[in-house]
Amino acid sequence: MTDYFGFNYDKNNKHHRMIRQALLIVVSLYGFVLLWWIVSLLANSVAIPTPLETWDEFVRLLRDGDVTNYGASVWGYVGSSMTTFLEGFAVAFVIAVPLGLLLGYSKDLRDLTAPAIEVLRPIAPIAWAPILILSIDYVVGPVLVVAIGIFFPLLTNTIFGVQKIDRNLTDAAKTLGAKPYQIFYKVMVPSALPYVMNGVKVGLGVGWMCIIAAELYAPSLGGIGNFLSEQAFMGYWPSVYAALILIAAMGLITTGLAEYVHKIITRRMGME
Amino acid sequence: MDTGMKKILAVVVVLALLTVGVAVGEHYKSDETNTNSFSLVARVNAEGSSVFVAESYLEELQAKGVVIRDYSDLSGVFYDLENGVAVPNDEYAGNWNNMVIGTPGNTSIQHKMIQQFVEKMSYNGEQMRFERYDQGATPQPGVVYYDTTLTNLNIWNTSSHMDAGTIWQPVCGAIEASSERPAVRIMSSAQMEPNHACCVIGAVDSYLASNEDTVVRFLAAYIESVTAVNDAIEAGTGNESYEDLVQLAVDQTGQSRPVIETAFEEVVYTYGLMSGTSDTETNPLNSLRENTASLADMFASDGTFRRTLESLGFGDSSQFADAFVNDYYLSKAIQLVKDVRDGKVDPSSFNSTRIRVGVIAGDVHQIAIHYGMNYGDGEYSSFFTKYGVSVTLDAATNGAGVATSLQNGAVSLGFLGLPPASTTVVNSALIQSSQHTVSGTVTDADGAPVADKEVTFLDSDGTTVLGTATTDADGRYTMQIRGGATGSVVCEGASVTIIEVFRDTVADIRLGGGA
Repeated sequence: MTDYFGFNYDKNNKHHRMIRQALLIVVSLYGFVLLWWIVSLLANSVAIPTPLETWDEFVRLLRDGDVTNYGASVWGYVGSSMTTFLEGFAVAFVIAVPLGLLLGYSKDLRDLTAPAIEVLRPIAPIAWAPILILSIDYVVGPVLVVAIGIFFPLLTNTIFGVQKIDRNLTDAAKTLGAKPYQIFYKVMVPSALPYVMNGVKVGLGVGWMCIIAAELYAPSLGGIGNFLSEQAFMGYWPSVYAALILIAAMGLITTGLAEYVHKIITRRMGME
Repeated sequence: MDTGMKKILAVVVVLALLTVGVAVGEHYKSDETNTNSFSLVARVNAEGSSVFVAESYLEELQAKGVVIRDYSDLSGVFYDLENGVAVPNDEYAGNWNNMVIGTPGNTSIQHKMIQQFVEKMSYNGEQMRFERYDQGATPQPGVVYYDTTLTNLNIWNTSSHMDAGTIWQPVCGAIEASSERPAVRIMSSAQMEPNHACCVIGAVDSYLASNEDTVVRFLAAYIESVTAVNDAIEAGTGNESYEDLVQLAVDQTGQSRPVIETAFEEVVYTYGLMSGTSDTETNPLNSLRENTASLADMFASDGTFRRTLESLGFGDSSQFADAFVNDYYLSKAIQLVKDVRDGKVDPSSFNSTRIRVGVIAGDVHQIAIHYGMNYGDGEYSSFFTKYGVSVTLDAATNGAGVATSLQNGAVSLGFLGLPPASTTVVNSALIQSSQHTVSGTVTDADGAPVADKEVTFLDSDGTTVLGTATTDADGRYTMQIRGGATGSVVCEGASVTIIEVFRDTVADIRLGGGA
């Protein structure tokens, strides 16, 4: 128990911990806004509006929509970005997880593919955007850019997860007469799941960066990234920052969800 | 006090200090930003774009029963042609309905012209709309869609969703000449709006203020470059200058010779002082002012301007255009070219000065600056060398990119479209209405100061009084005139021409013996 201005803080009390967490969030965000404000005042550049100007524009954007486009709803832009993002995630998940399990399971296969993967992995996914969008189209191209962004963190984490499996578990399964496919399906897959989720968590962050970049090249997707780009071209910077707030909020929601699922799975797997 | 309390107090103190810092900063905040503002100091070209349509779209129309007799003349299908001008007609709105048009950007002149054209039509009694194309969405009646990715031939060839497109020369010429995805012209931009402004030269205001001589010499060299380009085009095939110009344009744009030659037939190269307009040698950008005001009216009504002109201190779009277009430097440059030609000024007296200029890469509209950097007359290897200007080019992909370079100081002058230039200065509040002092002394024919005389500032039409003052015992007068005003200071029949009020100006008047 610690006394803070008459408040006896008990770190074992769940409610006290929640209050502490909430206060930390408020103080952190307040400090961030103040720092942003000071940078804006010091830089005195049209490209760095103050938080107040940004907030006014954010409210106006939600209320009136994109006034340069007949008041189109900003939620339509958010929905478009989210759709592309989820499709990209699905593509990456369907390919990276089975491949990661396979490569984690088979050392020969892993050794064979490692050089190619190591050549491709360092290439920033954003670099693929103009190529994929031009060579395919404005819908599938950005989806694949997101998929590439999520693919590698997911793949490497899955491979790592399979390699980290306790040999005692596989040996025990073998002793009990499990066949190789049963060991793969019943031991390896569940054991690698927390690592897969870690890959999902990291991949989602990278994926968000990719979708915004891809949308700069694909206006017909109508996503929030394109709105940001249009407003920057028009020199109206408060709108650009309002778009940034939306992007940050969407990123927080998706990574927060992944974090939550990751926590539940690791808890259930006893890996906390 | 324990460690926890100390931490809390430290955080509180830091936040309190930051809060005070913000409050103090807001209180003493300057109205002017560190971002460079810029003004328009010359034209680059007029016209030189087209709207074209995929042949497949025309075939679809024909399948629906629309009669198209001649693919090379689509008046009577998409518009009426009256005295060479394309006029929108509701009768043809159905042929535009749900068309997807590629444009080179939402602030490009091409985008704005086709938007204006579409919105003048009604479909089933409702004004037609020009909305962003959303792949996969169900087309709505009465809407023409746009996609702002059309910047080259390759994009046209791979964008089957685009039924039509509009872009500058030589790209539109290349698309119309290509057989990969056949397209034919609907109309030229000259038919949509004869003499419409396209590219202009923007100059950073702080650079203008301290480098008047360099800017005037740059513009003089540019005037000679444009004149040489027009002479070469007029001379035509076989002429050495023409062949040099064509080869230069082929090299700069990567387009074929036939495409470049078509572009030369359509682009009107001009620095200002356009014949058949209100331009004069004193105010060679009058017509650009008119174009700018007209564009500002459109941008104010369609939401492109996110700030009102009133919030920037302007009573109307004309006042904004007056302040944004500054023809003082071009007027001086025109005079300098004359003086050099007449032998009154010796070019060898010019000190060499370096200047960074922003351009749009591969744009044939801006070929005159490349020509002026590579070719000259007489003993000079280039027109810019003649005027002692060493130009370094900084290429961007579009006008918005050039506007960015002007704002962040990467370039001092920039060639960009009128729409991105206008949009940038208004939305970023880089332009504000201003007042400047116009003062001087009124003297009689013998040079003696004259007291109690009324001095009037008349606009360039000579009809509107923009300011008045009375001379004091020393013959001195002072008046405040809004920035951008053009005209003359008048006193008892004697007058002094003021090219443009953009800084405090001195104008002494001599009665009975002229200024």
